[in-house]
Amino acid sequence: MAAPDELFCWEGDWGLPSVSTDCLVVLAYAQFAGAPLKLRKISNPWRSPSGSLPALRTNQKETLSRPSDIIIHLRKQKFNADYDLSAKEGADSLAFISLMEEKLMPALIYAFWIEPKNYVDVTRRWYAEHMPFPLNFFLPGRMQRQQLEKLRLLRGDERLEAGEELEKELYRDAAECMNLLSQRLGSHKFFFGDSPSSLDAYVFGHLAPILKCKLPNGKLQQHLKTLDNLTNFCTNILQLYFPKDGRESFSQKTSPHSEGGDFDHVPNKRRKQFLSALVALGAMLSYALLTGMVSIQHAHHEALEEPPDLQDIGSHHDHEDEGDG
Amino acid sequence: MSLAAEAFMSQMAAAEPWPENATLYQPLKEDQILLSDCASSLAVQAYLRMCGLPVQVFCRANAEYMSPSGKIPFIHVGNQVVSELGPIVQFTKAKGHSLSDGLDDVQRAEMKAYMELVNNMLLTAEISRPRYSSPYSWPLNKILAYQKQWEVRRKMNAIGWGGKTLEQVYEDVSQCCQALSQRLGTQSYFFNKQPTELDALVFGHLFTILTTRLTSTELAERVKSYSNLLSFCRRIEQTYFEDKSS
Repeated sequence: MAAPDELFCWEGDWGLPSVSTDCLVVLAYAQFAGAPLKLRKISNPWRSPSGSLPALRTNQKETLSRPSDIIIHLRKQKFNADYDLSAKEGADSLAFISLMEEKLMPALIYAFWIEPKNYVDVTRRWYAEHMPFPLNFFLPGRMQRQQLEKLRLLRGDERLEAGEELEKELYRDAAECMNLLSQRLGSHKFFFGDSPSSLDAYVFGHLAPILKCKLPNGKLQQHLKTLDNLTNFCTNILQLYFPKDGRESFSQKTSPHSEGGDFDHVPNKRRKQFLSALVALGAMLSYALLTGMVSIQHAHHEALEEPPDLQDIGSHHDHEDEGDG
Repeated sequence: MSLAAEAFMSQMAAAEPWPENATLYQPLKEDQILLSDCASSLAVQAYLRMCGLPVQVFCRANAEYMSPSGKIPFIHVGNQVVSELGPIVQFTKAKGHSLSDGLDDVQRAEMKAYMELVNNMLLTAEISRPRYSSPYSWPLNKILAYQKQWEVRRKMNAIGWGGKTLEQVYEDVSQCCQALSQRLGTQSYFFNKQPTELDALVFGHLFTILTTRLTSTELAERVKSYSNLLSFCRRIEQTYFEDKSS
């Protein structure tokens, strides 16, 4: 049997298997369709085969980046969560996915990346804490610029800036979209019948971060919590398909800073400590060498020239003392 | 449009009935208009005709710059100017004309979703076919054309369509048409027997794709393969645009 495809995605937090919407969509779909994927949860996008996350590396060494492409690939391999859908339901799926991309995603981008308080307190801190040195200095800022650019192009406004007006408009569109989704879901367990489909994966991917992440400016979360059926939908999927990640959230709640249950970070920390000690030692050594306090002689000369070295050091010190005195 | 401006506009709109001298502005038909703008303009015209609201169409070379949001088409009603289908629908609603009142919540949700689908797929597919010449003289026409193309390419990159080949774009259009065709089924209109803004939007886009002369007819061929969509377009053309052709 061929080796399973490898999926690279962002790490998880706040009780979610991953913090990124696109990664969540792919993970949820893989779970729904029962696709065996080798999961690589990383926090360094430069280590992914395509330079961005999520990324799927297939058996044929092909790399796919867009969630829709990954889902199509999985479908071709007979992992199809939409098998039981009627033609009309398939059409509805497409339509609602477009609705979310158009109305909900801009608000998500704004809430996580553009809103100043949210970005500084939560998003940037999370990415800076989880990314390795030295990426954590410049990569979050670069990602933020990319997201702002994307939002500008989506809205067709070149001079878009964060502000009350924009926030109100985006959140209003998002609230309307969430209401529409809630109306469509009604009291069913999933959008089409009793088993989840790709539309459920997309809805989960977009709504779960809003539901679970505690943002200082949490208007989207407030609105989502008023829609009980959507809240239950998300928690249901988390319990059924991602039970491990839900349990992890408890241990993380007791230790909010990344000291507690994050065993992944201990080797990194040790490595960081070792590296910084090495750098400090190297700096001190090179300073000593350059100023002449310590000089390195070749081995076969040392035996003859040692006494003069000691004298040199001694005279150098005398000069220093005279200088100070 | 900001919330305050919208509220103000609906208030002012509700004050007066639809005047006789409403006008719609769009760029020049023959050489200037982009495929997507032509589709949007036709959609608005179809919608207004469905509501039974008279409007005169004017073609102006600088329509893009006259519009308040920079997007075309826009209508000039009384002393207000409104652009794009979404705001125009709300504007007419404030004046008491609406096509989607009879829909229940689930249907309304589906209608909005399908409108977004059409916008997403068909609009962007139309944009990826460059066709922007200009009535202006050289070198302005070249500069504006490049500017437009560059702007469009950036937008496509932002929404992730930048990496798509032409073949994939056609594939997406087929998928969208298939979805629309399945939703329409054997009905006359998308929801019950009455047309809604979704019908106007779909008509605008499909009719434009079918009737505009392009360098390749691939797009039109893909649409033509769905017969119920073809008869849908023909039906709307005959019902609402008959006086135009006669």
